[in-house]
Amino acid sequence: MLPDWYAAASAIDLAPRRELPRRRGLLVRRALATLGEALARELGASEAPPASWLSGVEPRAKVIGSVLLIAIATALHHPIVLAALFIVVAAVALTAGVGVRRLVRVWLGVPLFSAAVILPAALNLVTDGPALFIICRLGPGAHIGPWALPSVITITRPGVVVAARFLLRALDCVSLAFILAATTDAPTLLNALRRLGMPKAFGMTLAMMQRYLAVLLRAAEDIHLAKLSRSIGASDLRQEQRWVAAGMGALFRRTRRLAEQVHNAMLSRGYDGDVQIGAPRRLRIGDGAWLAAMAIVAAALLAADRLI
Amino acid sequence: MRPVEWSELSEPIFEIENLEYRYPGGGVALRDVSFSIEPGERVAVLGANGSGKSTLLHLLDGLYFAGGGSVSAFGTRLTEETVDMPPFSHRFRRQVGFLFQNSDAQLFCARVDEELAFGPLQLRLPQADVEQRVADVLRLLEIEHLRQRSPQQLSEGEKKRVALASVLAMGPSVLLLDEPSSGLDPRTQQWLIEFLDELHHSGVTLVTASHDLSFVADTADRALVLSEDHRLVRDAPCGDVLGDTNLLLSVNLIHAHPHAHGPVTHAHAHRHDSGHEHEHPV
Repeated sequence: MLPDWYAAASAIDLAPRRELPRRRGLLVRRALATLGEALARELGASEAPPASWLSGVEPRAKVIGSVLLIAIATALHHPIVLAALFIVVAAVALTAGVGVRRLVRVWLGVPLFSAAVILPAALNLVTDGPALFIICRLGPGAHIGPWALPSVITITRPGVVVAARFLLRALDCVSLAFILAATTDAPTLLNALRRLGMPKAFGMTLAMMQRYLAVLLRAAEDIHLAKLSRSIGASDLRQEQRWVAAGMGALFRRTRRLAEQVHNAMLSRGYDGDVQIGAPRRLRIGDGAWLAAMAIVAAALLAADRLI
Repeated sequence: MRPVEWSELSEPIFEIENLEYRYPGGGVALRDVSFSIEPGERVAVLGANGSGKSTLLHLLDGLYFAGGGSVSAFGTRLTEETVDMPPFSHRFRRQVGFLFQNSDAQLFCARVDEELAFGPLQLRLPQADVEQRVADVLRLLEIEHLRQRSPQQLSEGEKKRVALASVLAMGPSVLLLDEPSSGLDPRTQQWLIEFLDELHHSGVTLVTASHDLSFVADTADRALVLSEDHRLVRDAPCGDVLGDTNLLLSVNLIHAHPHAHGPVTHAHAHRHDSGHEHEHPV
């Protein structure tokens, strides 16, 4: 019944082959799996956030408070006041049960990106003033094309203040946003944003994205594993590119089919184009106290910033 | 839990006449199909893969629309206009529930309790009623512990329960089920059979599309058989259909292949759930 070539050793099996570096296929697989797990954990998980005094505050109040403080942070000038805000935010985060490790990961990430953006502002090329450190001496008459350069490149004192202000603002804003996300599960946060006026369609799109991102990543991993299970040795670059393009096409087709099925499922349960969301719970005294505290902190920070 | 307004249903729920449907790409899905479904019936739509079972359910639920012939529900012809027009649209969506084959497509909200609340919210029910329905269906399907979970964290069996709960939260008097037993382990499958039986005794009309003959034997009284060329070839009591080996063989619902019993090897038409246990000539 089986053809002659089936399960028989042949010249193909014995030919020397450039072996695929094991790491390349494994790297892609691990990257997909890790990305999928991370996204599923951060976006898809809707387990209740750590129980604390902050998770009990009504989500709308938390959003309003966070947005208020973020707006204040962008308006503050003095680095000492910005640092004080950071200390307050850190204290709130730690007492609200947000893990130290997660906080440190976020805080370490901010300078990495922000410093790359703000570093030129610390130089005398951008911010003139008394020099703190000399970076290099270019000598008189230095220029790049038509632009003249100073004879010495330095880090200036005003430049350091500008950079510090920027970094602290970024740290404060990112920390505030992170605490909001860490103490409020994603579906609740999206509902709060919808009730505060975010367009329903936008909220629904975000919610669907959160719901299905992990599903699609898993599908992408499955496609990759299916290909790996039938791969022996290395393919050339053009073949790999063709395969990747075909895989992207296959994933897009699945996405479209899934989108149509989801739409039908929504229609069959009465969706008529206007998404209805449930009524929010009423604000309580504790929520009012939270909002009042945020307003007081904001006012105090602004006053301190003006006085120093 | 009794479906709403079931006692008002004295006319056929569905009337299908000379139904023709083609896929957007041009392929034929259904050819000259005619039947009706009365309130309280348990009907199975049987057929091999690609015979048009799922498509037929989509047509019954007003998600697809007939290219030829007609599909009527509650005395109203289902067209793109009528399905969207209140008050019929409201009544239709409330009365007819559809359990999709792909639970991932059915569960599109971020959390189980949101999923269950979706349908009642679309019906514009008061918040208190919505919350009551969510609590009731969680208890009915024994999934209270899944309330705050995300659908992607659930097993297939749990997803099926949640999907069913999300449909039941609207209180339908008719339930369309597309391959409900696919991907379920034996215990979950048995649970589903018993649950559907309870629903039926509460007055819910069941229409199940499946090629799983053992499942259908336990959940239907009447069978509509679709052939591989997309025609309705038999409409008869389930027992008669499942006993007609030639019919089942002709529509690719059972097969014949060689199998061995000790020293004896033979081939005949059978189902794997029961067919290997039989007498054979010595």
